[in-house]
Amino acid sequence: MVYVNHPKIILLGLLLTLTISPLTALNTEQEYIDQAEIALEKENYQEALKILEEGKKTFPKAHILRSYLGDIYSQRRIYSLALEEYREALLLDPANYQLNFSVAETLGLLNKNTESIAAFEETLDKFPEDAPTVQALAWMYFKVEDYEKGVSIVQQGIKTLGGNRSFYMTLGTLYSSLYEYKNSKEAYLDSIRRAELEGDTQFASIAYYNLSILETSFLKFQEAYDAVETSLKQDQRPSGYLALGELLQTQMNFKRAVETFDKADLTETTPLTKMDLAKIYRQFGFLDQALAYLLKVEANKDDSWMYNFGVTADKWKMDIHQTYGEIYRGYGAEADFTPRFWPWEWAGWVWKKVTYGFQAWYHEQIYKDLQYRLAEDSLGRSNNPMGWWNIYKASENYPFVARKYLSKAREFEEARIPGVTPLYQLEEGKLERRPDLLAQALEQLDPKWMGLERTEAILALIPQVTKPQQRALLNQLYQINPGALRQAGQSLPLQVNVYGSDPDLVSQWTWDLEGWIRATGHDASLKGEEGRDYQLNINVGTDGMARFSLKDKEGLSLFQDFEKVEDRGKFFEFVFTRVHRVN
Amino acid sequence: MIFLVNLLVEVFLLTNLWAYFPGLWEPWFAPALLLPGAIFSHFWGKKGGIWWIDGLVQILWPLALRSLLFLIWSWFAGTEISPVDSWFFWFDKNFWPLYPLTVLFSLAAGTSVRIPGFRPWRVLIQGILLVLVFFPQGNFQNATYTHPLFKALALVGFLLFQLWLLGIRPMTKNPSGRPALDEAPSKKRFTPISRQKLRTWAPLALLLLPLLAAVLWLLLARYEQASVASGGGLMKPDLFRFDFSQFITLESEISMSDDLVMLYRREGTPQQQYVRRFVLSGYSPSKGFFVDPPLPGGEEDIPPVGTRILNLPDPGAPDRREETQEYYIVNFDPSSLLGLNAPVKVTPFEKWDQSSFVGSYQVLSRVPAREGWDLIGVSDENLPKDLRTHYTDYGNNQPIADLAKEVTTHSPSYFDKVWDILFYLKTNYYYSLKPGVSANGNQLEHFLFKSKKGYCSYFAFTMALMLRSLDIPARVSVGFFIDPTETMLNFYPVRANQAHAWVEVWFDGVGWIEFDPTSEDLAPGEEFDPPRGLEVDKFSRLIQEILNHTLRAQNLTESTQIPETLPWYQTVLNTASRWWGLGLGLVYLFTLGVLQGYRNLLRGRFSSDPRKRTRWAYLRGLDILRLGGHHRLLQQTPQDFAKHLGDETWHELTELYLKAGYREEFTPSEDTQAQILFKKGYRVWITHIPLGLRLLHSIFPWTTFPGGRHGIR
Repeated sequence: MVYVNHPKIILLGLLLTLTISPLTALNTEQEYIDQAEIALEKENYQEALKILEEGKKTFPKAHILRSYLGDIYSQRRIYSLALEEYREALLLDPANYQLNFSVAETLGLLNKNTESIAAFEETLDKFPEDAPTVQALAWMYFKVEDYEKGVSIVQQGIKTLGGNRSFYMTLGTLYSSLYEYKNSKEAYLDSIRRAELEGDTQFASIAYYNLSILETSFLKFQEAYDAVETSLKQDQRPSGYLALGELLQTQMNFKRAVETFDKADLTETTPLTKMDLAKIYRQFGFLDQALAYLLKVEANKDDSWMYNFGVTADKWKMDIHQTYGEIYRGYGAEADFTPRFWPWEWAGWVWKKVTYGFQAWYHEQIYKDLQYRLAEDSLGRSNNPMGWWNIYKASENYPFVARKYLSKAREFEEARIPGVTPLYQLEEGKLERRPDLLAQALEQLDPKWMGLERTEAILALIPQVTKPQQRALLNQLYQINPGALRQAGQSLPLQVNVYGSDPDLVSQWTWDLEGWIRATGHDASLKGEEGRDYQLNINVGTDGMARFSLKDKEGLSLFQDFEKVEDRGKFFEFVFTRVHRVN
Repeated sequence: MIFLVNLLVEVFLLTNLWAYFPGLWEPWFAPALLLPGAIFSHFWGKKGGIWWIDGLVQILWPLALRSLLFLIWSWFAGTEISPVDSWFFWFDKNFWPLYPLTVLFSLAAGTSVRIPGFRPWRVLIQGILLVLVFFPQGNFQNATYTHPLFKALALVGFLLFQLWLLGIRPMTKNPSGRPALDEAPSKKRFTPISRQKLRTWAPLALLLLPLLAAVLWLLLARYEQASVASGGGLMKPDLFRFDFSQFITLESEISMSDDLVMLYRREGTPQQQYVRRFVLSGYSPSKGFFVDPPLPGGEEDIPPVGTRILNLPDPGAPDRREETQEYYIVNFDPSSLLGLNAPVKVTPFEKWDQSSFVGSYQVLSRVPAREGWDLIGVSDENLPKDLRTHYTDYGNNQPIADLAKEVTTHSPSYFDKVWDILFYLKTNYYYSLKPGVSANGNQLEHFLFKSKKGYCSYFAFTMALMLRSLDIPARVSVGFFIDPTETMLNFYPVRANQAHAWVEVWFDGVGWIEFDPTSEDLAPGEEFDPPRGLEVDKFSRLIQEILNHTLRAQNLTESTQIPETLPWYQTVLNTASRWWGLGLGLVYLFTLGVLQGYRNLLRGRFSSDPRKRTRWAYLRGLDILRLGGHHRLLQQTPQDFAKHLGDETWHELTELYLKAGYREEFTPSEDTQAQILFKKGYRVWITHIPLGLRLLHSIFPWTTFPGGRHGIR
C-alpha cells in the first residue's frame, strides 16, 4: 500500500477531483449555447440550465450566456431570475441594446415601475432613435400616471421617427387620462385607420377597445357600446368581452353581463375577468359567488399581466380590498335577516356581526390607505384630478377635509365632462347627508346607463326620509337591482298572503310566518297596509307542498315556484332569499 | 421586572399582529400608545386609587388625546387644501386597530397590580390573544417568519415568558403593595417567600410546559399543513419539472403545458394505455380523494425508484399477464414510480454520460388479461370486508347517491352499473380546463349539478363516488395516458398535457380494472390547443440516444424486496412513529413523576433539621416494614406497634422518633443514633420483602406497593 503524505500532492488530487465535471469542458461560449439549444429542443430544461451555468463558470465574461439564460427564464415567466441574468449580462456589455431593453422590460413585468422607467430612460439615452423604447417608456409613464411626460415623449417620437399605429394608440390613452377627449379620440381613430390599412384586425380591435374605454370615461355610453361591438367584430379578444360586460353591468343587465364575462373568462389569462365577476356578483347580492371569485383573484400570484394593462400593483390591491370590504359589509347586513328566537341564534348573530364587521373594517382600512398613497403619488405627478378624487374618497369620514377635495375635483371635471354634474350631486349629497341633492341626482342620473349610481343614490337617501318615502324608494330600488337590498340592510316592503284549502293549516302557517318575520326583521306584513307594491302569495297544500309567487303592483307575476316543505323556517328563508334575488 | 416582561409579551403580540395585517398601523405607533397606558396602569395601580376611576381613565385617555389633536389640526387645516388634511386619516388608521388592544392590556395590567389573584388571568388573556393571532396564519401569510422554525422559536420564547410570569406569582409575598394590618410597612414590594411554596408551584409549571408545547405543536402543524396546501411553505417544486398537484385536487381552473415529460417504450401493437403514478383510495368530504398511506405495503404506498431492483407485491389475481415497459424521464422527478396497473418489479437503468434523461427504468407489470365486455358476469364478492369498507366509502353524499341510483335504475348487473355510469358521464358532461368557481366551495357538486363541465379529475372523482354509493369498490388513479397514434419504433412521447385521472373498479379474479369516464366533448365556446403531433426530428434524436447506449441494470444481484406483510416489530414501529407525540408526553410525565418521587424521598434525608431527619428515618422504616407485611393498624400508637413487632432496633428508633416529635430537647447526636438504627434495621427488614417487590422498590423507593407477606397483626 502506498501512503501519500505530501500535502502538495493531496491538494493537487483534491483540485483535480473538484474540477472534473460530468460535462466535458467546451471550447467556446457558442458551443455551450449550441449544447443548451440541443437540450432545449429535447425540452430538457434542467439539462439546458446546467449547461449554461457550467458555461458561465468557464467563460465568466461571456454576456451572451447570461442573456440566453435570461431569455429561457423570461419565456417561462420566471422574471426575477431572468432579471438577474440580464443585469449580469448588461454589466459585461453595457452597450448592448437588447440587454438594455430586456432589463427595463423585465423590471416593468416585475412591477418595479420606477426602476423600469429609469432603465428605459437610460436605454433611450443610449439609443435615441429606437421606436419600441419610446413606446415602452411612454406606456410606463402612463402606468405611473406621469401623463404629460408620456405625451411629450410620444410626440417627440412621432416627430423624429414618424407616426405609427402604436404611437397613436399610446397617445390616445395618455390624452384620455389628461381629459383631452378630442385629442384622444383623434389619436385612437388615427391608430385604427393605420391598423386597418395594414390589415391588422387584432390591433384595430385593441384600439377600438381603448376607444370604448375613452367614451365610457366621458359618459358617452352608447358610443362606447358601439366601439366595443366593433372591437369584437374585428377580433373576439377577452378584453373586448370584458368591456362589453362592464357596459351591460352599467345597464344593470345582470344575466347578459355575467354571460359576457364568462365568455371572456374562457380565454382570459389575467385575473381581470374574475375580478369583474366578483364585482358583479357582489353588486347583485350573490355574496358567496363574489367571495369565491375574489379568492381566485388573490390566488393568482403572477402580476406580469399588469405591464400590458397599465395597472399598478397598488391600484389592483386597492380594487381587491374594496370588493372584500363590500362583500363583508354585505354579509354583516344580511346577518340581520337571520331568525333570532333562541339564545344560540342571538349568539350566532352577534358572532357574525363582530367577525364580518371586523373583516369589512380591515379591508376598508387597507383600501383607504392605498387610496391615500395613490392620491399622494398622483398629486406628486401633477395628476391632480385623480389625486383629489382619491383623497376625497379616503377622507369620507372627515367631511371637513373631504369637501375641499370634492369641490376641486368637481370644478375640474364639470369643465371637461358634460353630464357629470349628477354624479357630483350624488357624492355631495352622501357627504353632506343632504336629501335634496340626492333626490336631484336620482332624477338626473341616466336610467339606462347609470343603474349603479342610482342604486347608490337611493341607498343614501333611504335613512334621510320618512317611512312611506322609504318604502317608495325601496320599491324603486327593487326594480333596478333586487340583490342590492338585503346586503344594505334593507328588505322589500311586502304584502304576504297565505291561503289554502285547509283553514287550520293556513292559520298555523300564518302564525309561524308572523313569528318568523318578527324574528328576522323583514318589512313584510300579513295585513293589508299602504306602500306595499309587491305581493308574495303562498298557497299551502295539504300534500306538504307550498306554491308561491311574487306579483308587482300591476298584478304581473315576477316568478312562481313550488317546494316540498319539511321545515317551515327553512322554507320562509328560501322564499324571502328568492324574493331578494335577480329573477 | 414583571412590568417589563409583560410589556415585552404585549409588544410581541402586537408585532405579530402587525406582521399578519401588514400596513394596518405604523410599527412605532403601537409602543407609543401602549407604553403610556402601561406606565399609567402600573403606577396608578400601585398608588391604589379608586378602581373605577382608574379603569375609566385608562379607557378614556386615548380618546381624549385623539379629540384634542383633531381639534388642533382642524384649526390648522382651514378651508383650503393643506398638508394637515392627511393627518386625520393617518392618525385614525393607526389609532383604531390599536385602541381596543391597548385598553385591554392597560386594564389587565392595572387589575393585576391591584388584585394579585388576577395575574394568572392576565397570562391567560395573553395566551388567548396569541392563539387568535397565530391560528389564522396557517396560510403562511405572515412574511416575518421565513421558516416555521423561526416561528417555533418565537413561540417558545413567548411561552417561556408566560411560564415565568406564572411562576413569579408565588415569589411575591404581598403583591398588593399594602402592608397587612399586623405588618410593618415595607419598602420592598416583592420579597421571596418560602421555598415550600415555590416547590408546590414548580411541579405545576413543569406540568404546564408540555401542555403549552402541545398547543405550540398544534399551531405549527396547522401552519405547515396549510402552507403546503397553498403551495407555499416548505413545498418548493423544481423549476421546470412536471408535478400532479393540479390533478389531485379539484381546481376551478388549470393550465397545461405541452412540455415533454418522458419517453415511454413498450413492445407490441400500439394501444391506449394508462400509466399510473398515484392511487387515491382514501376519501373524505372535506379533502376529496387522497393517497391513503395507512394501507402499508399496498398499491397506495408506492416506494421511490432508487438504484436497485425493486420487487413489489403481486396483485395476486389469476387473470393477469406480464407486460414490460420502459420509462425515460425528461422533466419529472426520476424517483417517481410510474407503471401500468399493477407494477411488480422495477429495474433502474444506469445513467450514461451527458444523458438527456434525468433517469430511466424498466417496469414489469401484471396487467389484466380480461377487460371490457369480458368482465360481464364478474362481481366483487371476494374482496375482503375491511378493504370493501375502505373502497366503498363515499362520505354519505346523498345527492351523488341519488344520481347514481337514478342512472343505474335499469342496470341488471355489476358490470352494467359501472358501464352505465361511465356512459352517463361521458355523454352528459363536457371537458373543460375552466370548470368555474363553486360559491359554497363544493367543486364536485358544482360540476355535477350546475356547470356540467370539468377536467379529468372531476369525472374520475364523480364516477368513483357514484360507484362507491352503489357499494361497488372503486378508486381514483392519477398518471398519464399513452396516445397510441404518436409512436416511433415503439417509443411514445408523453407530454405534460397527457396527465390524466381515471377510475379503477374491482373485479373478482382480475383485480382493479381501469375505466376512463372523461368526456371527449369540449365545453361550448372553449378552445383547446391541439396536440403538437409527432415532431420526428426531435423525437428521433432522443430515440437514437437511447438506442446508442447499452442499457445495463444496476446491481442486478442485489434486490430490495418489499414484503407483502410486515413483520410484527415493523408494525409496532410504524404505530409508534404515528403516536410519537403521545409517547413523548408519557415519557415526560413518567420522568417528572420519578424525579418528584426521589425529591419527596430525599427531602427529609438531607434536611438541615435533625428532627426532620429522624422523622424521615422512622417513616422510611415504617414503609419498608409495611412492604414486608408488617402493617401498623390505625388504632395502634407507635409504642404499641413497636411492642407488637418485638424488634429491638425498631423499638429504639420509635423512642427517638417520639422524642424528636414531642420533646423540647433533641440533639444532633440523637439524630445520628437514629440514622445508625435505621441502617442497621434496614438490612434486616428488607429481607422480609418478596424479591419482585424489592426490585420495584429499588427503582421507585418512595412508593409503598400493595401486597407483601402477611406479618404479625
